[in-house]
Amino acid sequence: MNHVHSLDIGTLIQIAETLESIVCQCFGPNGGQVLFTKATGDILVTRDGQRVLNSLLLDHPIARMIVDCVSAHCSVTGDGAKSFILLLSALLRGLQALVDKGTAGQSTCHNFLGRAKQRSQEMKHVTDCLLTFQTQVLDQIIRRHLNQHVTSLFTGDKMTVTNDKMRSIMEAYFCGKIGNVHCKFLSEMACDYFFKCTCDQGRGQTLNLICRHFIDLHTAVKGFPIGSSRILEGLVLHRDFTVYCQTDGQLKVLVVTEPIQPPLSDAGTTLLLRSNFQLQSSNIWIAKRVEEIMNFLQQNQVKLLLSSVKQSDVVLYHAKLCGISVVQCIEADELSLFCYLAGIAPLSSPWDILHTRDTDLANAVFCKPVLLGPHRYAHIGLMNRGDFSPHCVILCGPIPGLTEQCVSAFHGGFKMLQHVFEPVDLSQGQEPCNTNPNNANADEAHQVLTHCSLETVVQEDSIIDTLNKTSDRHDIRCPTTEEMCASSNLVSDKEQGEVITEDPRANQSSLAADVILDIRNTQTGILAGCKTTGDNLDEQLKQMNMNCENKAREMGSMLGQHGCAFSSCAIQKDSTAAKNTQRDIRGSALTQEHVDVLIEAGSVLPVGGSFEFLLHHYLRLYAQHSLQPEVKTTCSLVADAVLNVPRNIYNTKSTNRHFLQVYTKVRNDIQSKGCIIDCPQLLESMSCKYQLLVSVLQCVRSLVTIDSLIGIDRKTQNTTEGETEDVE
Amino acid sequence: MSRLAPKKPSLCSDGPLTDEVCQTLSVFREILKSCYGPCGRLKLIHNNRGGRVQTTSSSAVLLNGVPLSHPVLKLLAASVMNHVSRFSDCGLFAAIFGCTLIENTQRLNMASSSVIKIYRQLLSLSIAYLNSEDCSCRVKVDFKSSQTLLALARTVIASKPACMLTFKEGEYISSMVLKAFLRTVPCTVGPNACLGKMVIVPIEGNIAQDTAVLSGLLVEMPEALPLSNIKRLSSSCINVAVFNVSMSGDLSDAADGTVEISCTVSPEAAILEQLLRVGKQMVSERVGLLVCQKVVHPVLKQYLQEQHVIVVDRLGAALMEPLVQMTGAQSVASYQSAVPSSCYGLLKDLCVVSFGSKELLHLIPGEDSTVCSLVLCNRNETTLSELKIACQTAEHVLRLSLTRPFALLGGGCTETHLASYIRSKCTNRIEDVLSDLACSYTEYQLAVDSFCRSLESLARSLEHDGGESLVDLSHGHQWFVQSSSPLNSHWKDLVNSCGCGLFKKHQSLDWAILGDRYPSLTPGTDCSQFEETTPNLFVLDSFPAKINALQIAVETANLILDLKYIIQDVN
Repeated sequence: MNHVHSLDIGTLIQIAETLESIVCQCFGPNGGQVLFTKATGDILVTRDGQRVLNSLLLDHPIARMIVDCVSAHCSVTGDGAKSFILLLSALLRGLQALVDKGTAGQSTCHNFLGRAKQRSQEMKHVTDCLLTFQTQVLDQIIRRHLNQHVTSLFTGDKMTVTNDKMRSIMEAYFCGKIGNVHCKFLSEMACDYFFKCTCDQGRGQTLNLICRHFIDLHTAVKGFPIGSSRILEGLVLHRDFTVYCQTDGQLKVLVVTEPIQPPLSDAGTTLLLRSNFQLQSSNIWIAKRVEEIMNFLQQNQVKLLLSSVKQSDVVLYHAKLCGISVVQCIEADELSLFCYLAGIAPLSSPWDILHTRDTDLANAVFCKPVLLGPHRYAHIGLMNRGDFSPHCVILCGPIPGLTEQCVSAFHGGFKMLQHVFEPVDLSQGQEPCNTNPNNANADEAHQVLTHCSLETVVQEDSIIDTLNKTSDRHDIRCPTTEEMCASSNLVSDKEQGEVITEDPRANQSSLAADVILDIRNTQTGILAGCKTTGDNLDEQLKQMNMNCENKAREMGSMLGQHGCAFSSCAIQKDSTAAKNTQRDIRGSALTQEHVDVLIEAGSVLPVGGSFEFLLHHYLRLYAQHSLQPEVKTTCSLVADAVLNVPRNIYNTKSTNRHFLQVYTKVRNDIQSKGCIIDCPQLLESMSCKYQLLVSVLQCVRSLVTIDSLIGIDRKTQNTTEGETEDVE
Repeated sequence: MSRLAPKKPSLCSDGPLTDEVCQTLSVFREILKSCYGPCGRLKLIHNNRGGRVQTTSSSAVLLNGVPLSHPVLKLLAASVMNHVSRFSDCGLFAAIFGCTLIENTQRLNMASSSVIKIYRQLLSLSIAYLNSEDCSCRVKVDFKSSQTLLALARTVIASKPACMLTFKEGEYISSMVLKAFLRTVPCTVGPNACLGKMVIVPIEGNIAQDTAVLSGLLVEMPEALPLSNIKRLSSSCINVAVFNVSMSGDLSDAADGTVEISCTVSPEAAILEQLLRVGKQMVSERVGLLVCQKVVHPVLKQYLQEQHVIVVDRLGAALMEPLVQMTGAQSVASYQSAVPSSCYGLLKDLCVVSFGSKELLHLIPGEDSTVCSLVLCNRNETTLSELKIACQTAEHVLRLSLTRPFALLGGGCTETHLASYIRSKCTNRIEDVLSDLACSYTEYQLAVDSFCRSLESLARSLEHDGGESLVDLSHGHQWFVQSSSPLNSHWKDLVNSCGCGLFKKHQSLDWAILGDRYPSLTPGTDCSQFEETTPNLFVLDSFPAKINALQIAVETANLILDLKYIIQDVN
């Protein structure tokens, strides 16, 4: 242990700010690009934050740790590396200010060491608060307040995505990944590609397929302007025809993975030659065999032979004589994609070919050579197979480094979409898993209660009235009916109007973990049923539950975006608490399956810092009403930190003025009208934003809890001590 | 101790376009600029440890041969090289234009993001204009006469001064290239029609006037070929058998298994026996010429020659395709079984030609063959290799003219015309454009000016001898004035015709010095004058190549201007 450096928050900030200064140059609408020359001399142009950070090959262990955190986050969401650094450094700065303020107040210790100790205690305290912040504050705010502002990507009952919305979310993504002038063109192409590939059903399937096989589905062409990029129907195999015979119309394709020519002797066997004649006749036999196979294929109307291995000259010669085109040495991945799309299995041994049935042959619409840049490739049109209609992307650029950027942006864009189309579960951020359904329900009930405790309470009659109205309209998104609680014991605790009661833990204790039912429906009849108290309630509800589940299923398919509200009734079995019928009606964009969905699939917000502004606003509001000082401080800490993202977006020519103008306007909008008006058209995913914040909070915590770095000298360690723990 | 050194942190430098980089960029631009055009200066590339010396002025050789130090230059060179690999022509155009654009923008002191947007808009404006019907700086390629095609070829050949051709030689070579190109175009048009192949055979030492076009292929003379064989053949058509499999008598691979051979067996003899059987078949079926891509066993070779069959082996893969195309033969890959007679091809004749010290076997195909050989002669190795590049480029340009039958006016006229068009388009009624780009009128004008000045300086760099470049105020074409002209004379007395040769001087024209601020002009859209007269000495550039070069140059310049950091991995 040669070098022990104590690590204080100053160092952390220094590192984070260095990274920030690099990253913020490529951030936002006016951000530029980075030229990266690899050790091999290759040139790469990039705007992707993760790529920039990784290419820096940083030395400092803390910096490396930060970059690892960013990479881990990006591998999940495919986006947000630059915002990560911005948030991180803002949070660290906020933390330092907090700690400074905290220690300056109590000047009991004058010596340096004592102060440092005090600081670290203070820091520990604040970070502990950050840990609980996510579950106790952030999730609630997302669920209750931000969810009113989201719009959904989906329209109609089949969860389809409109072209406009798709374009806006793709363009927003591309803006962060490639140069400004091309992002409109390329994002439109990405949307076109998506819609061309998607068929009526199985959108998720299509996305999965695109993400998994994007390497095989695109072709990068150098030497042309980006504007020459296009989408081709069918599949481009990245090999040229070895033999090409022109064909028209539909054709049959055979896929093989082994040489067709039988070898002189097989593996594990020995051919014993006793005379010249034997050698000659075996050679002749081989040639005859190949001829026989190729003639058989010709009789079966096979016009194209795809092979993952090199075929012998004899095979090619006979293929040509039989009018069969051959593409050989195709990469295994590409060939397996082809087989998957064509719905066939490749044949391996030459013996199988003579027993080929019609189902072993793929049907193709066309096959022709296509000239892309310097290379000629085989271009094959395939039949549409249910969930994916085969198309491929040709991405052009003046240099390979630039096409690579486009390719990774395309790939990342589809990864991001995949993420948007999945809902965020509550349990994800809170507990590792909820195996016990009772537990899950208890957890849910807790959520319900916390909500109730924070919510505006309306008289029961008015609830029924509004519910009647709203369930007719299938729209429960207006603020008054958004969340309601009709709990008799809570009503007494509450005042009319917007009162925020703190301390959810108290509520938790008042509610036993024994929850038996939850009903997802908007039927007012049930709500009426819930109102009646008594022992027969259980049975009633059970019956209704069964009805409702059926209905809920119907409704789930029937109701689209416009509101499938759910009511969750948590009923306590406890005899004393039997009266306490908890009801929570949550109007959110869409709930079909799970109760513990935090952010619905397809939730999007306008770009330009909407998420940050809104979060800032609600956190501030929460902090004002909060009674606990810890919660107050953490809320304002995070609230200020998130503003760093829009600050960098609206930072033109390093002046703050534009940002302040936007900020003032947005704040007025939220306060007066409850939402942001005339925000940009482009959209971004709410779940990505949420997960980014959660990852940053976790990263901050792991950084701040380190108090010293121990550098070790490997040489001395090896000779003297041998097995010291490697701490870096 | 350990070979695994920890990776060094990368070098991260801020703001790539520092003064120092701009300096390098301008040196780079000056080098390229001085090579540009028919009067360009040559560059001698050598390394100080000996080795090959290259004299060149073409971008392909220059950018390939000179290692570049700065990543920004590497980026620029890489995109120009990729353009050249696709289009062969207009490499210097793209490189100089890209450099000039970057340098001019650096002087503007504007936010790069808005300049990039404006350049992008100007680029699409230019491309739209060049593609539109009323573009008056392009001409339609007239396939009825050879004049336009010849002009295209001549412009390419003439723009490579390192070929060291006289004017007359240049004319001759251009006409030869055109002749060879026309031979590769098939006579019949059908769905399966495809262009043939022009094979260049470089011969060193002869003068350029010895260059010739021969239909068919020229192959190396097989050693010990009795001339009587050829004489005997040259009366009628010749059957040709083409093998692409090795006929050297090797045993084929036994894959994973093992082959055990008892000592009485000689596999070579067994296979030779099979080869000879095929040879006998050749002889009995009156095959006159056997061509093999790989090696032919000497015993078989001798046998066939005794039977008056000419054997050409080690042809190589490059010539196989044109040979198969020319003769209509199928290349045979199996000598185990009898060769089907449908695999034989036909040749009209065979003869021996000699160029300088070299004797070659000339395979003469039938009438409508699309394969031809261009025997290219020049005085020494360097000029010959440069001439070979020039001819390949010219052929490529001619081929491209088939895909888009247009040509752009050369001699700097397209550039000046385009510049004056952009200037005239971008002064009035641009409110929509401004709101789209979110920039002020002044900013827009500055960027437009920088773009147009870059175009004009490109046109000016065709002039290397200190002369003056003028622009006429009705068509926007470029006119050159020699440096030795007297000071007090009128422009009218000094000029003859514009750079591309389309316009002659006449009374109604007025001129201004190019590069200065000249009064705005709306270039005339009438091109009727050209339709009537087809002067012989036009300078025409390839349309697809120039359009792509323009796009590549602006895109690359935009990319470089957009860079904020350079990260260099120094491991």
